[in-house]
Amino acid sequence: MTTTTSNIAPIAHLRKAAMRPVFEPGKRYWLAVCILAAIVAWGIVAWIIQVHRGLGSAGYNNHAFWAIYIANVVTFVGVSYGGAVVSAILRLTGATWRAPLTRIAEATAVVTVLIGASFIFPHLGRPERFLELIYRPNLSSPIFWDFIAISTYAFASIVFFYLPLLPDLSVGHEQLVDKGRNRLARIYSKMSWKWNGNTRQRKLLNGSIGLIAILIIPLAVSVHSVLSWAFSLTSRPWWHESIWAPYFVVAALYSGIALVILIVALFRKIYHLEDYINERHFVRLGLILVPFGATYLYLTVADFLPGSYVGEHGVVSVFAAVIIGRYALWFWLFVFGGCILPVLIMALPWTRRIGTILIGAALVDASLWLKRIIMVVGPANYGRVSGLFGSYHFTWISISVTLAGVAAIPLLLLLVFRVVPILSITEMEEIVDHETKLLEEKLQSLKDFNHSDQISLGDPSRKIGIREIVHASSSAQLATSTSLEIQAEEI
Amino acid sequence: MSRLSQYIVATFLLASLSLVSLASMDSAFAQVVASPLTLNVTQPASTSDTLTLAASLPSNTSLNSPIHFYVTTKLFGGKHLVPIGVSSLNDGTASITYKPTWDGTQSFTATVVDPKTGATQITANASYDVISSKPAVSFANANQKNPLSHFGKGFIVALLIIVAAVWVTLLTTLFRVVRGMSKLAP
Amino acid sequence: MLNNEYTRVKISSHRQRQVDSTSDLPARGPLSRRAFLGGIGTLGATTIAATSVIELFAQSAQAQGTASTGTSSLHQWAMVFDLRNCDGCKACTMACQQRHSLTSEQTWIKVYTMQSSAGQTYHMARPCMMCEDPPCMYVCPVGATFRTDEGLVLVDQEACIGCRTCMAACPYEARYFNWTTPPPATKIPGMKQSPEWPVPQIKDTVGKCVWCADRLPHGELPACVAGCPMGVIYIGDLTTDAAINSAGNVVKLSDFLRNNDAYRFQEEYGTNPRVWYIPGHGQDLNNDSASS
Repeated sequence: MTTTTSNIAPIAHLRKAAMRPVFEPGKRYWLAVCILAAIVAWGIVAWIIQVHRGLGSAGYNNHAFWAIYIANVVTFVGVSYGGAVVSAILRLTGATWRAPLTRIAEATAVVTVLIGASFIFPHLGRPERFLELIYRPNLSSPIFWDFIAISTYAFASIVFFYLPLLPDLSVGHEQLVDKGRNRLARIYSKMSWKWNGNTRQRKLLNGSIGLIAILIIPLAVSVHSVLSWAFSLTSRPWWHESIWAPYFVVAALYSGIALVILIVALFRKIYHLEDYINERHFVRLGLILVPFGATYLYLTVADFLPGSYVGEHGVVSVFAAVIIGRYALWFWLFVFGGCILPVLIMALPWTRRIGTILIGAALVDASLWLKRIIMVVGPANYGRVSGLFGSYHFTWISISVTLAGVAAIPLLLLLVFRVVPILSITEMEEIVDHETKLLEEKLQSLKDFNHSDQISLGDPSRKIGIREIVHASSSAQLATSTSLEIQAEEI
Repeated sequence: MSRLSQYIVATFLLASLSLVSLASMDSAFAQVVASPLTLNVTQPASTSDTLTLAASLPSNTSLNSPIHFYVTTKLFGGKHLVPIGVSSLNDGTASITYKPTWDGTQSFTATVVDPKTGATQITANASYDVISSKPAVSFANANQKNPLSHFGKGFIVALLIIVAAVWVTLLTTLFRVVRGMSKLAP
Repeated sequence: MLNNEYTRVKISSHRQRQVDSTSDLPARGPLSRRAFLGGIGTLGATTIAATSVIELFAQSAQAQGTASTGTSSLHQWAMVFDLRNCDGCKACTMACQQRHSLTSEQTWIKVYTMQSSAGQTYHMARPCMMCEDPPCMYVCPVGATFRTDEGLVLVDQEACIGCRTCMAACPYEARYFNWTTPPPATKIPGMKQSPEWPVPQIKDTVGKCVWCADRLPHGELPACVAGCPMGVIYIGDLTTDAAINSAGNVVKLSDFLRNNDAYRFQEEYGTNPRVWYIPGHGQDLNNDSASS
């Protein structure tokens, strides 16, 4: 699949567009950064107050010992799957339309996994003792393995973000030098390690990216499995379910793709990437959501049916609370708002528009967070000796810290794309080059066959020119169709 | 069984005939009267971990009440008598068997109550040096077997090896790319 | 009750011993091992993994070494609740809270009002069950929960990172978190905060019933046992096979359990608790007030 030709044609407008946020992020960039940074700073202040006052100030109590923060860990680490899927799976299956999305998706993966991991700190009563996990670990604890799995996956995400970036840094370097941004140019030059785009370099790089793409899929699966085992390795009703590991993984994929849709839409809008990312990208991502949404709904039924049918005391009590009791409103909100409605939006052709897809994706992420809250708080609330439920309320501290995490996603991405090309230039150029060559070969064989510039397409009365064919095929290819057309003119 | 007999090595013993007034020890035995009850502790050859406690009264006694046997413990501060059995007199001798559950010198007491006066009439003491023992209560459900503990450390070691392999792959890939770029540049 | 000459006996904490082969205890040691590599600061993940593995084998070798020597009369503490005498007065809870300077929410020993299958109400106190296979200890990521040689499951609050996984794992809801700064403790001279004497509690860490581990080596009764006016609670030793209650009633533990059909609460979780209950609804009390 990967091209081995070294003389890949550069696409000037693509190179310019990818680096535009680095040079001219726009007037409202600083305003957005300041507002988001203020929200994050407020969350950090709230966390410091929480450390001072104790975890009780975040609404925790002995009947809600796990709650919002661990749900946030699951949610944020979960949405980072979007990057792994869009990038790794689509790369391995050779879906070329992914190319304009990969950089944004991979950066989102890195940013969200880091935010998710840092929600461990407000979750801990004694965050300053965190390093004990390294120097005096208990190897039989699922929490230790969570730590191992998340840190391994986070590191792999960073590698997976960096490797495709390496040649783009070399491309960006020229532009930075042109504009006199010498300091950043030096970093770009250092980080791109003498890349000059020759065949052997491309072969080595693409091979390595392929390896990491394969590796990151089982890593992603392991992270959410181990996260789910933090719950299901206890004997608590509803947590102690064998289905939870795949359930978590599917939820992560589902919410992760939804977040990629939202983030891609955001940066497409603010950095005017409409030439490269269009409605078809959103429709395709939306269509990927459908099977995951349907699977999640199916797993939800599979999760609840056996326990409800048999009637074991604790399990039935918790399930009743979720399905018809104290959490029922939120649960059914999730079922309709988070599964049925988004799946319908994505599946029905007449609702498949960018606007509705964005609403659907936002619904998915919001209601899956809600679902995680129910999954964490419900069984924690249930007292296994008394059979009674405790209560849990959010406080301004826990809400502030959570909002800080939400605001940190666009904030960190805005900052990342201030220093990093937002589109994967090399990947897109390689794909355009590769597909142009394929097209040229096909055209040549057609020309050889017909010995003429006119091609007969079955109906002898309908004669069209080569240029029209190139035009027609190119629009079916990448969103970078403009460049294809330009190249086709030269044929 | 052979291991069991290994634990139980009888270093016999002082079959003490010493008659001690326990009046100072426990309020329940305040009205103790010394009398010629004898207590003998033996270890039968057949069941090595079991002791036989035999208490006998002189044939001229008219007492026919059951004999109570106790083992002494200092576990809860001071001396306490733990009841370990009751037996009726048969030809002037009452006996019970007892499985010691802890090591060290244990002292036994036998008492008999005079029905006329209601007082604890007679006591006798004997001590025995237990070399090894078995707890009397087992907590484990015999049928309960955890498959994870079957693999034990091997399970964890295998997981650690997988994690190490992943990190090594990630780092070497990164290193290969970084080094390869410079090497392959003309 | 308090001994002024008290010197704290360290119950070989920070390292639970491999279960001895002379006992019938289930051999569930390997997975519960913690690697104590105190003092190691910044080591690479691989090095840590390697050292942990070495530690694992080192401990296993040592465990095999001790196996042949046999127990030297280690106490194996156990508790029995004779529910035939319990009227649910909660004196045990209060005695415990007073001794450990706890807030009213921290019911280390908690009296539950239960419903029997025959529709009767009865009272059941729940201390820490000191499980033979403590799930709280297995899930603790830093080994802050440990088991002593004498079978007491204790928490090192100086090491607890406050992740509360143990609270999730405990089937008996016996663990309590210090969500805010604990109230100031009544100072007792010569006694320092320790896993056996966790007073005062430490903010943002987990605490639980310790069976008054500081008292047991001195032949003193735990606060709840001593504080029970009905003599419901027996503290005993499986090795000595004896148990005692506040009324000074001494029983042969194994016979006491067997003859009274004792059971362990929520046995199905497989934690092998060291607390037995003798079924009842307070029927042995003179006034018989607890039966309905």
